[in-house]
Amino acid sequence: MESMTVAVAIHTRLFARLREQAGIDAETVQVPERSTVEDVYAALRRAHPALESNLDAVRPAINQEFSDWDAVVGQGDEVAFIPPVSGGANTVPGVPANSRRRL
Amino acid sequence: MFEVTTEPLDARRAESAVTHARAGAISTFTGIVRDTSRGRTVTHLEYEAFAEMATAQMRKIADEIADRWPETRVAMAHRTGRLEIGEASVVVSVSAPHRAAAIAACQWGIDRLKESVPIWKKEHAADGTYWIEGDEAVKASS
Repeated sequence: MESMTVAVAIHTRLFARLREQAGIDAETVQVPERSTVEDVYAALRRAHPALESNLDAVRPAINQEFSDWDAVVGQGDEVAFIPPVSGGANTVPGVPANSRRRL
Repeated sequence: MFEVTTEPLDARRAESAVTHARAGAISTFTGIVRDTSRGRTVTHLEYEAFAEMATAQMRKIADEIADRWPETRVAMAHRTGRLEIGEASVVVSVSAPHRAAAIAACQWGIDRLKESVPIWKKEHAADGTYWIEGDEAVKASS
């Protein structure tokens, strides 16, 4: 397999309903350099098609900080995908609504 | 004190963590597992946490409280794993010089915790299991 693209390893974590949908709670995925959090989630969904498709129902976090879907990930980052919490109703403090959308 | 634990919660421990000589008031909220939810009979609950991020978020909320209500001290604890009806799932305790700030900050703290701390509730009801996500109850796979 030859490619000019440099891959980075991203440590993903899934919780609660997303964990049950995927059947895993953690997986390391390889994505091209300069990939976004959304790219990482898309790679996970290719491997686990039952994963939630509505990005409004998922909040990403990079290295334990809530992030935007178009935030760029780097080698070794931990990216968690977080379903809404019990009192949350999808409010994402500090993340503008227009950054949330469907895959 | 900011913790996520499988052990039973003790509100007095949270209060001990925030009490000090200039604090004239402590307000403590305790969330309890109840036996009904959305018209369904609940047999027990399961809580799951992203524990490292959860405690980090609790500290952030405490910082926000300190900005809004000077001279407050905050303790937060959330239990995970299986909880039975009547058990405490969450405790927020805030001390302040006077009661108004202690009560307001405590309410604000539990509201923020419930919307931003990555801890999930799975209800085991008579007709199945549900993840509680905001206003929605989503059927769980087990």
